[in-house]
Amino acid sequence: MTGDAYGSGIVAAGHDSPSRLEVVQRPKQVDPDVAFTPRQLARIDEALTMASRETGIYFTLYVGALSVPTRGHAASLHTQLGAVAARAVLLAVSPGQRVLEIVTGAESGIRLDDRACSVAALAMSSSFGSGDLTRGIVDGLRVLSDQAGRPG
Amino acid sequence: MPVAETVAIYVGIPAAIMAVLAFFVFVPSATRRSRYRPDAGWTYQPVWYCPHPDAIHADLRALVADPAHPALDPNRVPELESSATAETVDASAAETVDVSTVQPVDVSVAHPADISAARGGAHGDW
Repeated sequence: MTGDAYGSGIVAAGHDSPSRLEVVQRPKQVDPDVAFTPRQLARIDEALTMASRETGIYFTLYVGALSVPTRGHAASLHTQLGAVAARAVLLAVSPGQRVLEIVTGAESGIRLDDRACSVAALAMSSSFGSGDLTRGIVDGLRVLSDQAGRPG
Repeated sequence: MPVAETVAIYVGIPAAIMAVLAFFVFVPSATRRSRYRPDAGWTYQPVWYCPHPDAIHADLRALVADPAHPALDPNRVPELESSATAETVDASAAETVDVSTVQPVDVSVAHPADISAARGGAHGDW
């Protein structure tokens, strides 16, 4: 793994081309016990990239524990995006706590209202409940991308 | 036809076919990483995935490449946690994140980005 300004590691998502590498942010030293297989990472990477490219919204995904209240922690994570937060959407998934939060910014929230986010959350929860995290994440990103449409 | 040949044809061949089918059915699932179970908890470290900078719009790329863009720290919850686990990362040293060397953030000095930028969203559970 090599590091860059975006974090401490780059994980190959099943593709050799550098343009298909995903950037993984890790809070501690790299843990080799990754939650997703390379194929799952490739699907997530493709969904994140396609959703961001098609909509012009910066989609990010957090998978891990969330402090209670989960909404507050997710909002705090969203704020850490800095200048891009206004145009960003954060999907925070806590598989252990079985909760997910979708956080929109000032600009992304105009194109993705709470109703659209609720539809995506419902789709994600449905897949998560059946034990398929990757599909839930991909479906959620797809729903949000469809709801947001292309940039005007 | 000898007995052994008869058994080999009418028992051995079907058994071999069934063994091959069973191999292709059960081995992939046995070697696959265990599927997520909602009631089994989650033992992995938090991870934050972002789209690759080269794959997003140029204006977004400029925002993400902003030197003031802080390094993302999923464990940073300065305004919520009262314990010493609230941490931040020096954006100028964003190459490697080692939380054992970072200092707690002073929430009394709020960077504009520290003010919640959240507009809305949704909540879900399962």
